[in-house]
Amino acid sequence: MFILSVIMIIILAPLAGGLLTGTDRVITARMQGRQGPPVLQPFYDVFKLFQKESIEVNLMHRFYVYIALIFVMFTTVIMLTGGDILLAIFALTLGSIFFVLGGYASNSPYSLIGSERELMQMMAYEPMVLLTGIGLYYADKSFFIKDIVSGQAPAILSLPGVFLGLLFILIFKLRKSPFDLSMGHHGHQEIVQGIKTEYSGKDLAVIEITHWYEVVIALTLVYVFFATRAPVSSVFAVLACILVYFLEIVIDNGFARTKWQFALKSAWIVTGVSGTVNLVVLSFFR
Amino acid sequence: MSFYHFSGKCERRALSHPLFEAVPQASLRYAMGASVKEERFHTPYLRQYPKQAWDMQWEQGRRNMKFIKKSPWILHYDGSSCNGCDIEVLACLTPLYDVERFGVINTGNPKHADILLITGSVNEQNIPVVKQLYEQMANPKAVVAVGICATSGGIFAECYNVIGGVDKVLPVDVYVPGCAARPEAIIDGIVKALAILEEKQNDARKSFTLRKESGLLWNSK
Ligand code: SF4
Repeated sequence: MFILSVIMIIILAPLAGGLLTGTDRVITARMQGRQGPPVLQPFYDVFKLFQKESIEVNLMHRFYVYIALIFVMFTTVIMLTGGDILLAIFALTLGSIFFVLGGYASNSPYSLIGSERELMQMMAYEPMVLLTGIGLYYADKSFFIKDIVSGQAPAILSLPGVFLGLLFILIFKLRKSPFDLSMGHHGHQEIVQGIKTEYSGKDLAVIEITHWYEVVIALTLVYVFFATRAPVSSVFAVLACILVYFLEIVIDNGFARTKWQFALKSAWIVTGVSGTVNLVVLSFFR
Repeated sequence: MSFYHFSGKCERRALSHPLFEAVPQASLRYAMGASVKEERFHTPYLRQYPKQAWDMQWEQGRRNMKFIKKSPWILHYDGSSCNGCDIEVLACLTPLYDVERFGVINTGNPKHADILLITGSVNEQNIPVVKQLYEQMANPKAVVAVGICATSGGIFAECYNVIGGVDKVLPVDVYVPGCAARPEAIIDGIVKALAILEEKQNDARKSFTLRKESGLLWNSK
């Protein structure tokens, strides 16, 4: 039964992620006054990439991307089966690190700069991700997601500040506009496509699928904040996920890309103020 | 768009085969009787491949797997021109024409692109650039020459440094006429290029299966 659910998660999570990405593209197009591609467009893209030639720059180049995919899949499985949130966070970080190494593997200046920016972005968002895990433990006295989502009251009630911080760093995680420094979804940026620059064919498709898993992981983190023991709360939690995703799309379309200094500073200020203050206040009440 | 500098060395192991290079070079086509004059005034000119019965069969078998038709990613490069056509290419992306409806994405990256849109003629300075962009694209790939400049040199044909149309350097698949080419014509040209991409993909598959059966593939030991 457990094996079956793991297989279901591995298959269904990227489907959901791909659909969300497709909806994202349609909504973005509508916001810009365009009609936009069909909702299934991300799937067409990925299937096309699988049919294209993969150019190998060197032997290790594609290896890192596949390892990153495996770790991100592992994280998704842990999170959706209600596992340990700390383990999930660390596996996710490891996946991101392998992805960065993939950028460093080729000698292209664009992917090198992309990797450096990606490391900088990780520096910006990792503290808040850790604080989210710690905060959830503080609120529910357990690191296990299945305990957190079956608490009495939703975690958001005791962790509004942490949730705000999470919303902020999800812009990094979902690679949305003010902070999509290392690689954007849109072509024609100053470093071409950042880490993705040297990847083509199957390897690029794998990067895309990894991103779908990451979308699911990001929204699961939001879900955890709203779900409680009552079954009806999962409806609210899913609604919250959809709202958050929409908010991120609005932010994506509403802001121009910032410099890395601003990205780093603002992320740390938000983490320091809303995350830490929330935890300090919480520690008084417990 | 300036000179692209990517890591130069790339091993093409997966699908490199003479069949990919079997596209007749421009000079060859002229030797076979095609003339610039003819091409200039046709609506997007399509290079015809001789079709055989087994081609058709293959195509029918593969018809449902043509995702390349649903997501053509383009790379645009402006050679020596007045820039008019390049602006028309970008006009295709605006809300009025919105080529993203067809899944077209304007990538700035040859390694992600399927279709190379070249506006403007070729001169001594940009021959290596154009060649490098083409070589860095992953197979299957198509080249669309947009505007009269890219087709034959246009009003710049007599300049001392202009070599002529893009087909002097690259195997051009579709010619889009016009000065400047209208966005509708450019979109039409992209759609024509899709048919060619599909054909090239079939060629690649055929060569791949052929080599696999005959044990010539690098990983088929
Ligand atoms: S064809 Fe005409 S509009 Fe286009 S680049 Fe040449 S001169 Fe300019």
